[in-house]
Amino acid sequence: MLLADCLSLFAIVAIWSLMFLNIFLTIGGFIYMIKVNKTDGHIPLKEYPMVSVLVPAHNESLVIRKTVMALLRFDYPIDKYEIIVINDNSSDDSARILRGIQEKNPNRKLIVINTDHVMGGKGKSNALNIALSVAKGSVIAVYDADNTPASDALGILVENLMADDKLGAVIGKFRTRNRNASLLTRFVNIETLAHQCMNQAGRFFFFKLCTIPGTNYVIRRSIINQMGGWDTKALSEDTEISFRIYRMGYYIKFMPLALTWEQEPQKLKQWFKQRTRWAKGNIYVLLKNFKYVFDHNAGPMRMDVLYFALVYVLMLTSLICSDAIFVLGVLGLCYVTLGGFSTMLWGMAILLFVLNVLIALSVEKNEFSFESVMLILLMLFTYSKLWVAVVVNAALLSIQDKVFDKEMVWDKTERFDEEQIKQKAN
Amino acid sequence: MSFNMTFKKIICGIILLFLAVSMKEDVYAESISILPDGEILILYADAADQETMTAVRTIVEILTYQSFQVTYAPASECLGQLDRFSDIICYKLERYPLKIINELYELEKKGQEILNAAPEGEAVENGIQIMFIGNEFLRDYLTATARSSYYTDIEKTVGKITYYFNDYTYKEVLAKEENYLFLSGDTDYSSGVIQIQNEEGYFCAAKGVLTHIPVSDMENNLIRAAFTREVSFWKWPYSGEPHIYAQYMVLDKVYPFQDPDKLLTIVNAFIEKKEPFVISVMPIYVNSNYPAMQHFCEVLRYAQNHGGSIMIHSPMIQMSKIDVDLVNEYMSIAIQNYMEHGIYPLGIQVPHNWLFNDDTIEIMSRFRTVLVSEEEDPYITADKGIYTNKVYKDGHQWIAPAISLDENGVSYIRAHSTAVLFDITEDLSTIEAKINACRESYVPLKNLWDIEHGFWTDEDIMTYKNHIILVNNKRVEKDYTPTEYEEAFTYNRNMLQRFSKNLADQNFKLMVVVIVVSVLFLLFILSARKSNKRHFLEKHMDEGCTED
Repeated sequence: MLLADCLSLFAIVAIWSLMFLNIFLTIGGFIYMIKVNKTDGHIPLKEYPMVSVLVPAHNESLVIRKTVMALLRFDYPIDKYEIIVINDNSSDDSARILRGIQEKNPNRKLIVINTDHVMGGKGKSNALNIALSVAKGSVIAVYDADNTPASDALGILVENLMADDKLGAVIGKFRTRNRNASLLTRFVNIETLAHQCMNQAGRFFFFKLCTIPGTNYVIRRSIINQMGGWDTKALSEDTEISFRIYRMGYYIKFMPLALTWEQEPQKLKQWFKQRTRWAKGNIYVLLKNFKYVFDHNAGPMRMDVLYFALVYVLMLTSLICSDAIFVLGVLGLCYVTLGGFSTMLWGMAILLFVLNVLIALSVEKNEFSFESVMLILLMLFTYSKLWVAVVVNAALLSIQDKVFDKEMVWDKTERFDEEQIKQKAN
Repeated sequence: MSFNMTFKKIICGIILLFLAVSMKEDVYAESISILPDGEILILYADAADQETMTAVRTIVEILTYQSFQVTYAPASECLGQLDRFSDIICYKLERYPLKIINELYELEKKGQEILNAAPEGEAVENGIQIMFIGNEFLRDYLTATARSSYYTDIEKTVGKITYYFNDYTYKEVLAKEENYLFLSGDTDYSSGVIQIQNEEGYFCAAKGVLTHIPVSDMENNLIRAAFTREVSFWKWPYSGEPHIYAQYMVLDKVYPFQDPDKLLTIVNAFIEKKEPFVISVMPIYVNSNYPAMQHFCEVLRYAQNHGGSIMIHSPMIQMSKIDVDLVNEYMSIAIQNYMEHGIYPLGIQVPHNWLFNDDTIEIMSRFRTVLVSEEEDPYITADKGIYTNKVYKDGHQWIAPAISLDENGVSYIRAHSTAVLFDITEDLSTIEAKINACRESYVPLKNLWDIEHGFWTDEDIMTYKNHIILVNNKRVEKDYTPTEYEEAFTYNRNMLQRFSKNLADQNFKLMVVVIVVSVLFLLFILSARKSNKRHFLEKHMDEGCTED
């Protein structure tokens, strides 16, 4: 058997296995989404807990005003929540903007912590730990500085968390605010809906497992205290903290009705940088936690670590193999003689991929259209291929960091002034 | 001054170059190369088109099957060399140097003298013959030699050919030419009829040294078959019919993965009718011990023992440049695989264009008996500039494809051996009808075991003579004893191969699963769309109520 045959066989088995796993999760996700969409997401409480809303911000002057204003508009009892913005070693005029908002809202609990390069500038985890040290709430909510949450988001998240003692955290859904800014943001929007929301929903429906997305989530203060705050070495502090919550025996719930809108990178360079950081962070978390796959006491976390391993190892290698075989085949440098390795298999995989993504879009308002189908097909042959490049780059950088014992550096995502772009467009 | 001289030289150079290029079409070279020897010379038009070249190669093929050494070249390249050949065929000569007419005429006169000197009714020794195929050149030739009364022009384009292969067997077909011309007056020989409205002419006629066939379309099966017969008579120096060759019934391109039961049924049909037959098997390079191959070879051994003979088909070559050593190596493996099962191929079957390529000629040279099929190997191109049937030197025993003139495809040709090909995927009734047609044909059937064969490969030498098969000088028998098979054959597949096999088996199941999942997903999408619509309407109704 030729090497090309072996690699093709591996690719086809791996891709179809992951395809069926995805179909399984989509079915669960769809049922869950339909079920949740029939409610308003609220579970009224007798008494609402004190909530600290943490917002780590580093040079976020372009977006921070919109974010803080949205946080101030939460329909949560105003005496029961505080907003702590960690203006983390910013060199722009974030401090001035934040001061202005404070002055205009003197009766609101809006705390701004300005850090310098000694205390701050060490990444999101460090900023969150600083904010945690002054937070008074028994529930901690985290929002990224580019978010515009819906006014009911915090209430829904907190109510769901408090309604079940076994829940360690509740996460909401995030959507792309600048969806129509570029082709890239359209792809990101579809990816967010299909792979992040639908997968989270499916995993929660079947296994009570979710991964904290880094924004729009609430977590019990006691848990954070118990785990000693956020891991400052982790670039994906959200994934890392999720695993620790599982290990402590808590669940994480996905509540799609708690909605936030966030700004996604509009340019390929920024997108590539952001995704590389995510992938690097996830590789770190995967390596740190992989041992738990074999630990019988690790509970449902084993499943999630395995899922991450499948995505980052199996999917990556199988996509590289299949793409390499395809390209070499077109160039006439490689031949596959494998029985059953037919074009129909690829055709069927593409069909399922498109339908799978369309389901995610169909449950959303104004997302399902013929244009979306075309975008999904285009995405399959362009955007999805970029994911391979991102992970390969992240893996190489991780190896480089390990070999040269480099410290993890937080590579901040560049923001865009949406108003200015809109004005220019008009 | 010096600049002016250089400039003039350049201008002169350009003019000379221009003249050389522009005169190429009109000025004919004076015999620039020496033509290879041959029994027959075929002259064709200068700058002949692809269609003409295909027809010329068809004629070369036909003459090769009749074991003639042939030389063929455009007319201008034959100047000054015609007298080296005793038999000349002028095929559709439309562009030629005028000198060729004089040279031909000189030759004709010489031939006529020899003919006149020969005693009547006896074979003419060292005679000269000129055959004209097509009409234009014959008209020019006779006019130029002041014999305009020798021919009759018929300004019509379509004629109906009626050709008798023997007293009882004839075939008819319509043929198209730019116009028709027939030798007028008494002819020494005439056969076939071409009916052109109310006029009637011959298919082939001879007058002295000259022979004429008015139709030139070699793609027309009847014209090709009739020409094959006529050219054999033309070359036969004695009176009466030339040697009679047989036809062979050949099961074409049989693969081991085809149904062995059907093959056995067909083989038994031949055996019951007591008719000889040939099975042309495809070469197998790997897994020759697999049960499918064992069962296949069991049937072949049985056939071999009951009058059937085996030929091996040439490999399917998919290389733009043939690696002769590699092909020979693979053929050696394939033949050895069959011989290990007691199957002894007697020759090779090749596509017809293998006759015109140096590489394939070299591959064929290892086999004495060559069966040619009408199929064309798309990867083989005819070598340019070859003016002879190079394959002649290897002294092959040829079996040509039968030219199909009826629905059964039986042979009407006795001028050389022919093969009637059977497709084993056809219905048994069709195959039986074809066998019966062959049996009833006036062309005799023959057993390949009745003639000598031989081949050599990288590993083995096989000769068949006096009904004895020798492989590497050791006698082997083609006896048949039924084999008992292992119940559970061990394929020795590794895990990946087993998985690969399973993957192929699972494809259908996977398709069903994909269809089910797709339908389920479509239902999900429809239900989600419906639910979204309902929510939207409910929201608007609520808003409407509030406004009221």
